[in-house]
Amino acid sequence: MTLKKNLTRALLVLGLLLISVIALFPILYPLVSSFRTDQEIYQYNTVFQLHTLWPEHWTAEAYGALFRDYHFERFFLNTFLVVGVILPVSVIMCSVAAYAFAFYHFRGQKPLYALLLLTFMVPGEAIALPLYQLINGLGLVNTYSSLILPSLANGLTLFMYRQAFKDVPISLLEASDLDGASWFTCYWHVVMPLCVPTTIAMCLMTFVNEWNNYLWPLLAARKDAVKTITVAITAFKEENVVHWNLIYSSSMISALIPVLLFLPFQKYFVSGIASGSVKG
Amino acid sequence: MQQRTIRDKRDRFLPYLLLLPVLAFAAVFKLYPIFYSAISGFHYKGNWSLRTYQLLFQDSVFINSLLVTIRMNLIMTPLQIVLSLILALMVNNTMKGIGAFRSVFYLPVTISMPVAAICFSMILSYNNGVANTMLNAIGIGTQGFFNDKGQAMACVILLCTWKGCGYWMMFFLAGLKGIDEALYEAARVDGAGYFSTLFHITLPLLRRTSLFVMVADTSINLLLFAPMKLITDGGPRGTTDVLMYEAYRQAFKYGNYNKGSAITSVLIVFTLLIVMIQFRMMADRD
Amino acid sequence: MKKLLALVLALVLTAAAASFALAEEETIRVYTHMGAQIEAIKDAFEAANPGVKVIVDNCPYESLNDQYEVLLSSKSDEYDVIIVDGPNTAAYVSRGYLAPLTDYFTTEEIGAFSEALVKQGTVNGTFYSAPMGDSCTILYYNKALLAESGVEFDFSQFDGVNSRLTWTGLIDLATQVTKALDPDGSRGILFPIAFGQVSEVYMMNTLPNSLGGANISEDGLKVSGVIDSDAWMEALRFYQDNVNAGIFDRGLGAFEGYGNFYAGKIPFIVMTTDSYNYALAGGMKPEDIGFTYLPAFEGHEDQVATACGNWTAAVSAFSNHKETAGRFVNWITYGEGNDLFLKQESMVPNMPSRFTEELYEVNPALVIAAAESGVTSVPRAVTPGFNEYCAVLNAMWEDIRNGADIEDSVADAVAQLDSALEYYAD
Repeated sequence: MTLKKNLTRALLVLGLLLISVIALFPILYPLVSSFRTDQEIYQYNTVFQLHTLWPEHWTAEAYGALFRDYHFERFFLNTFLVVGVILPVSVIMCSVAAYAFAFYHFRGQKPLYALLLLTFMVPGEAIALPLYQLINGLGLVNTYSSLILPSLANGLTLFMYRQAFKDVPISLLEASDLDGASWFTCYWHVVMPLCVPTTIAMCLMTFVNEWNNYLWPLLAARKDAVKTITVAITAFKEENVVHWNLIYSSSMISALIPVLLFLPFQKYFVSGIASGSVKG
Repeated sequence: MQQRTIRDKRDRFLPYLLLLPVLAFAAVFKLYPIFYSAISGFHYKGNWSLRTYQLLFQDSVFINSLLVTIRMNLIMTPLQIVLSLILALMVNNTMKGIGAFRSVFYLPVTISMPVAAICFSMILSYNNGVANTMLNAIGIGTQGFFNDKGQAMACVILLCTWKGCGYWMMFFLAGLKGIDEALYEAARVDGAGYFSTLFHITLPLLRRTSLFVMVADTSINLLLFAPMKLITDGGPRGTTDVLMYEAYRQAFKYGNYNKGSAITSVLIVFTLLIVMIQFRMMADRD
Repeated sequence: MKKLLALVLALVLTAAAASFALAEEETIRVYTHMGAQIEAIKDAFEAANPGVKVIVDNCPYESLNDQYEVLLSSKSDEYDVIIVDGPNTAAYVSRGYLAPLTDYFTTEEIGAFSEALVKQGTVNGTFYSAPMGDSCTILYYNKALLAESGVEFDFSQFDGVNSRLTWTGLIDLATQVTKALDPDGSRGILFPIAFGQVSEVYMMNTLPNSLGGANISEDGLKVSGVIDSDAWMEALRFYQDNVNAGIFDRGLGAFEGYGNFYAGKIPFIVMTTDSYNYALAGGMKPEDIGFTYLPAFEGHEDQVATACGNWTAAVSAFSNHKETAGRFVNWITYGEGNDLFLKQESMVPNMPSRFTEELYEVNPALVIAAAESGVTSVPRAVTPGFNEYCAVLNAMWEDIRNGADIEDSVADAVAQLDSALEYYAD
């Protein structure tokens, strides 16, 4: 019995390790290549050999150049600023709306909810052109607002909060109701504290989405002063030259940040999306 | 399903007030562009006309894109769902260090698509990719991958599955955590094996989660086009030319916004139809 | 007293003039993928035009065309000067994106540019886009690799006008060199010959052009009868056969061959003349960079064709500063701005009078361009559907490279393009 148990366990670990290799492998080559010079990248890319995967001379020059010559800190700050505004506003706005959908009866409730969810299913790319014309008409091109405003209302966040709110025991609300508390007290002091995992999960998802957003920032924020990371990376592919080591190093840094954020919150993430996707 | 209500009589307008910000932003930044987009599909060279749609349905490129889109989704969506369910089952235990595995499996999700596209084109490169080097070493010979019309779509699916499974795994994991331990305990007492428990207890109880994942995954996959934009350009020979990429190309490359909008509209209606069917199939039995 | 009055008057006048100038302060915005290059020379324009400020915004090369579509179809007045790929002129004019340049250039000034470039910038008799420079496709070889292989070959025998390599000769030579260098493949020589801008009509169409094939019909609205002609079929077959034989490169994307050539992984490559400087930047020693005229097909020596055309400057139809923008366009293409630009970029000049000894010192490969320019150079297809043309034909070249059936691919491309170009018919 224990033998069988141990065997199953060993197989499971083996499987987990194997999948980890598959998950990590595609990132390894760019990671390693970001520590070599451009010349070395070309030198060892044909005829597979040890140095194809392992740099001959390790150098963090590409990372240095990012900040010294290309002022990458500016693009990081821009991205953080944009995401930093979107996160709290989006979470509060969507959870307040979800609160209305979860705890009130009102005319047009169902069609409104359906309309909102369907609207948010349409991807940004499909409507990029009219959205650009709108932003342009408002005179917001090349401003932080052009990146922030279209991302504030979010269907997934709305949906997840509504589901989470429905798990809140009604007795809690009725108790505060009797105390004569305002809707805000109920929302902020009763409901939201019970939904911290949902908030963490939604913050993480929104962060990753916004951090990796590509087409819209490319259209709406072209100037260095407001440019975000993903757009800045593509600038290393010039007409006649591709700076591979810079592409690799900038990609690696930009990938590192969401990963670092995700690791400590991983546990809450699962429970945060649980109520939304599991119950009806 | 009973709606829980508090104080609905005391403040009739409050719910609308609470909805107002989201509604306003959705109306301005989503509904208006969608509406605009739908309208411009019914224009041809500046005038109201059905000609754009008429030409569209005679266009062999469009028909090909429609078929490619359907084919891709018939393979990719079920594949992603099954794989992420398997991943979730594997990491749904209390083993020491399992959190690390979950994080590693989720890692590809956090990599942005442009970066992921670069990684995969390097590995699957015709001349000096690691994949071809290894295939040569074991005597299979060089493969075309993204350059081969029989393999390009498979490579795109591989890339998206690599990047997507960790995401959906998390939802299944959340679903699995919500299943009452007592049910497993009871099954164990009855002497049920792993697979019997899986098919008779776990999967039926995951129906809600599966519906959510299916709907969300379908709508994302039907509108996917980043790998085509970044790697294949819809080729070789149109084998990865999905509708969304064709719409993008018409609007942004050819400046034919009417045609791009018409394609997007067809795609959105198509997506809604599929999602509705999925809802019917999975949710009606309650 | 009179003197004092005069002084006061003079002061008042200067002050008035100064405040007038202040009021006249004007800003024009330039949008380009060559941001750094234009940024470096714009001071000279500002110095020559007091009160004018030039702001240059850079766009990643890959998304330049997409961005123009979004900006200009939205009638955005954000940019006054846009840097446009020459062959896009007709398409942009047909969509109403460009303002005519006739007010900012005299007929003589326009006439000074190389003929093919004027043709590319002119739509229905009106001049819309002025050339920043020109380009020319030439054959580069790595002298160090040739010396190492021990294969002797005298490139000085060619003068371009009367004699040049043939494709057969080149394939022979390149095969010998590669065999001598890397007999068992362990050295990692990728291919004997590469096309730098592979699967791009700019470079690939020189093959059918060199057999007498045209790029598109006279009116720019049909490819049937053109790309399915005998010349094209022969060129496509020649290309596919040599890819299959491992002579021409496969699997490398456009511009990927460049870096591999600089790194000594490819002995022969077709690139543009300005690649000379990129080769230096990529770590090649000047004495290792060899170059010669693009080969001809045997028996078609008189039909040999090289690619030409380049980036142009144009005034946006939605600009609120057309006058100043037009002056800037004139300055950077015809005027002294172009001399500065040329010195910096060492590309093929946009007019015969700009080929100078000084230029050859910076980029000796331009000697070849001087000989080919106006003699063998063939402008790209002139059509309002140039983006469609490129998308479909680039894909066709790439598919044929990857082994697709030639007849099928051509038939597909003809069907797709003829129906897409019909949109522009009236």
